Amino acid sequence: MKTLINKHPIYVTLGIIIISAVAIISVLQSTYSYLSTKHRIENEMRESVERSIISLNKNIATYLSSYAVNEYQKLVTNELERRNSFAIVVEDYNMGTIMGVKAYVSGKIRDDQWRPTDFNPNNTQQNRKLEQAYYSFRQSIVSPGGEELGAITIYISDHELRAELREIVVGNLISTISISLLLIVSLFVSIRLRLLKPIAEIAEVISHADKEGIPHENVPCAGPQEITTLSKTMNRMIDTIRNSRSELITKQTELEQEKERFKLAIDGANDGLWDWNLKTNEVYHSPRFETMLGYQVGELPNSIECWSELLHPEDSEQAHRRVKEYLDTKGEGRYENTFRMQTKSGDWRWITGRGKALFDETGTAVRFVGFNTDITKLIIQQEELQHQRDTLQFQASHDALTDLANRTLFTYQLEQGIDKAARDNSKLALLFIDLDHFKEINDSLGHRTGDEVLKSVTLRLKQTVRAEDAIARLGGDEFTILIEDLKQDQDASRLAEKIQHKLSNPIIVDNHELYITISIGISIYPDNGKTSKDLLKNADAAMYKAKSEGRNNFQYYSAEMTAQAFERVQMETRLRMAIENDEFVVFYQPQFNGVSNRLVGMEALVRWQAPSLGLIFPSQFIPIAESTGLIVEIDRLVMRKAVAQFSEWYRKGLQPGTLSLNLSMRQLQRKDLVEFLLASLEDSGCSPEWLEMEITEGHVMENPDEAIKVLSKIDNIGIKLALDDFGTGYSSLSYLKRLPITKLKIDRSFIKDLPNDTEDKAISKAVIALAKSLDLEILAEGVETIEQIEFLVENGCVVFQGFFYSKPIPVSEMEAFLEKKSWIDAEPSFV
Amino acid sequence: MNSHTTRYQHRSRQFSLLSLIFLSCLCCIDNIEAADANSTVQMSNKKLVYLVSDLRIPFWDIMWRGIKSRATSLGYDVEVYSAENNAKRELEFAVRVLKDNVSGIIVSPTNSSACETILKFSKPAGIPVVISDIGTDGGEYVSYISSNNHDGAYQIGQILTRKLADAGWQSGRVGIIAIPQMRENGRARTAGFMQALSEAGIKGADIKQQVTFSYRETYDYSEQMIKKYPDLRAIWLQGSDRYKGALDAIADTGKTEEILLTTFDAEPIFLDLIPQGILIGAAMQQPYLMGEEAVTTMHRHLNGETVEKEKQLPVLAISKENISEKLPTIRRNVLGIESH
Repeated sequence: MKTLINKHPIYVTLGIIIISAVAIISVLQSTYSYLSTKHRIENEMRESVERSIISLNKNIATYLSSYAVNEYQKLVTNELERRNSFAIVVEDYNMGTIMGVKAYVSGKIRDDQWRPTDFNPNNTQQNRKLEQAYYSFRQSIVSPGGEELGAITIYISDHELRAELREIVVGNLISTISISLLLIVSLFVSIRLRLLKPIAEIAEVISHADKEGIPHENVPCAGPQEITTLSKTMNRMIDTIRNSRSELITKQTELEQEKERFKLAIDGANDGLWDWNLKTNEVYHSPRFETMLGYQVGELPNSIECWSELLHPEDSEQAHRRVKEYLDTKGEGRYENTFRMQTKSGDWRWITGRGKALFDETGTAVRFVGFNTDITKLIIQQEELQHQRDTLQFQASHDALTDLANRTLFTYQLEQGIDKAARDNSKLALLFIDLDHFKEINDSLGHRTGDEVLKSVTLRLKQTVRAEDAIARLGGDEFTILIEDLKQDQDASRLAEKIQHKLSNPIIVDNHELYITISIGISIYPDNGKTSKDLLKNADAAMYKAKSEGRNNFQYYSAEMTAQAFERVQMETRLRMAIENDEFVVFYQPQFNGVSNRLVGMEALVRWQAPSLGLIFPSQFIPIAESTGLIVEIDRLVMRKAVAQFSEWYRKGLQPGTLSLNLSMRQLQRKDLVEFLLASLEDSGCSPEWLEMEITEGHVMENPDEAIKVLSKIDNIGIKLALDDFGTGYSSLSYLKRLPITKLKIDRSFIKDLPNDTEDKAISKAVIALAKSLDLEILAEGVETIEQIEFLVENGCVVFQGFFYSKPIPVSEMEAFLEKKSWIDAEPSFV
Repeated sequence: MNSHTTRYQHRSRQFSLLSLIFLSCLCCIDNIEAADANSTVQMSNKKLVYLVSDLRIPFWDIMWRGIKSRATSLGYDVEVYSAENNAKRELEFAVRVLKDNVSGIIVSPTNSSACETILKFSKPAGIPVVISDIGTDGGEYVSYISSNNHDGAYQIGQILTRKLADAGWQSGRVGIIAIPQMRENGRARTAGFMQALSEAGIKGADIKQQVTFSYRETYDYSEQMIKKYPDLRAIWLQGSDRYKGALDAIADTGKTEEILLTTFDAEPIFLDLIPQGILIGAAMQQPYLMGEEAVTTMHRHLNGETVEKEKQLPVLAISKENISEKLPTIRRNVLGIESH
């Protein structure tokens, strides 16, 4: 309807409105008229029928009582035609009696042509018509005497009703059309003269307009008040438009200039514009945005996912986070985001994005617009600059010849080390190294050769120290080394020795074979100074002391330390010689069953029989042997000797039981351990089940997984394994369960104060219970008193080793002991 | 069964019944005489019924005798049912007869309206009906046998007007005591008589319609007209049976020999009254002849012949002058007196 009205002339529009209005009114009126007429006719029909039936009843009673069938049938016929009824049916009881039925039924009914015909009660079609009659009214026929003679029923069809209603509808239709036509013509004429003519004149004036649609002349003011008002308003509008047009042209020019300026700025900035509609998630990319990444214009999809996919994986999370952070600020923050984006060719470009978002009234970002600036060149420049800075900084802090730290950097590193040592309550050592007679090399072979020597020395120093140790060249032939987290003071002297050893080989420069010696001064923090200056000064002093001592040596700043260092060096030298001279002997300490007093085995223990020093106990040389690695060689020496001896005892039939051998950590780490053991067994003819290797709990726990592997191999050979010093190494029970051990040895420290010390009692009980629960043998070390034995036996530990039974004894004594077999029946006693 | 049924009729019925039983036996035993004659009436069904309004009235009795005579001669059993002028009884007889599935019905109804009802019932039963006198308001029938009432009335009118003229009483009036004018025969009689009066230029007085058909009614109507119309010179009765009422009224009002009396239809005594001049004349229907004609028409119809839808028999206009000549006809056709 709206479209219809909008697209047609006003005549048609008004015509449609009028016809529609009249039609609606007519329909309503017709409907009302139809319904009221229908109601009226129905009432009239009913009244007519009732009147008719009353009238008929009165007359027909006489006929019925006088058996004047034809007469009342005539009456019925007349009534039917007079009242235009559909049917009248009479039930005659008198005639019924004559005919042997309840009632003789007769009457008149209209056929399809509305002609009266005789009613036949046996005619199905007629009966159906009666059933479908619009209305019927039945009344009994009673004689004046009160006898019921029959009944009369009048049927009314809607024939008349329909005819009358049809007439009403047709009449209403005709009147509607007539009224509509009259109204349309009247309205058209009046509209034409009063409304359209002035409007047409206005339209005529408006049609003559300039190229921008503004009329050349003002519109005429004629016609009805509304049109006159409209004309005046239009004229004011035209005037206003004319005035504002000039303003608009001015502003448009300014806007064009502004736009051009903006475009130039964008083009000049060479930035890529992006415009992200957060509602639709569509992103507009300016041509420059795409060409910046090597794409053709329009090649990139207009989605935010496109941006995400092009981000460098390392920058993606940070870039997305920056966007989210900015949007979370609801526009109060500043959006600047730097990231890498991949170009079409696969290269990466550094991009800085800047922008601003628009938010709706709920604070939700709806639009986000900004620029992408390609800062790849800038980044490269910055990296180059940084590299230059780093180079300069390196040069400032390093020695140009050796690339070692210079004095400045070393001093800084030293101070940092001092601070850390102070915090950790640890020690550090400063080694001050000076090449002996370097000046002569420079003087005789030239500075270039000297420089090469310095480089070679630098290289060997680097190869000698740990990675975390700092090396510096303070100048000339002076080097410093900083050793942090110093375990022992003597570790510094060991490094000094290593360095001297490393430099003991000749340095070849230009076919010159040069032997370089160095003098080293050592200062220890905090013993020899608590500042870098003091430590350097004292190390330098110690170095001069070494020089004064004949060069090619090292000196601690403290004389005592120096003495200890030299003692250690001497010990190491002696150990090497002892190995060479086979000065190590094996002692055996027997192991007894405390209940049966029978020997169950013995532990092989090393002793150093030094010709000049006498018998030296392990505590005096084992630490040095371990630190130098000589322990492996000593261990194997002892093992070979002990295994050979033990085999011999077995061959002699002395029943020595099981031989326990200590397995050091260094030994455990040797890959050829198993081969060594197999070779020893083979060489000696020893059966593996005679042997038991003891490994300390602490050693196992240093690298339990690796230890389990090696111990499993030993176990596979058939050699038993025992865990030594149990209770001191914080064993993990889960590892303990996995270790292929068969025996636990309770450490002597828990035995010593038994049975008086409550804690030791509890610990020893717990260890025994643990061993039993893991189905392990248990042996107590260091038992010295009968009370200890009684307590332990009482709590389930029956195998003992200690001075209560015997101290470690040499081969001869042990062999004599075995030969006597005195322990079999003898009371336990010290041997 | 009407009490007027004669012994002969009883015997005839008994004979018919025996014949029926005999014929039925024949049909059952030999299966002969198969129903091959739809075109002709079967002996077993050859029965006619005469429904009459009231056999106590001589006119109908004479007509019944004509019917019975002709039916017997044609081989029909015939029965008469007299309603004794009772509409209920007439309908009861009609229903009963229709159930008996007789060959045909001859009806002289109580009135033309009742006749239409009878015709309405007989139509679905398929029984042909011949109406003998009175007529019907509608319905389907084989033939309607009636008297030519108009012409009879006209002729008796002419006799009366001649008498009035002979007496020089043309200026006098003629009163009519009529049978109900609702009846077609009544209207025809009035029209024929009035035509004769009109042609003779004699004025009519009142026409009083009979309701009760009683002596008193006729006497009163006559007296009223005599008193009302001093110039009344003649009274015409459209019926014959209450002629005495009119004669007594004339006599009692002292108008004997001043007012002439004429009738329609006749009584046996008229054979004496007319020659004596007490009655100027009478238009005599021929009921015996009508009965015979009704049966003949029915017979022809039952035998597939085409019959006239309406047949009017002449009415005899009898006066002193022609009564001797017409006496044999009067005796047979009007009075039903058959000479043996």
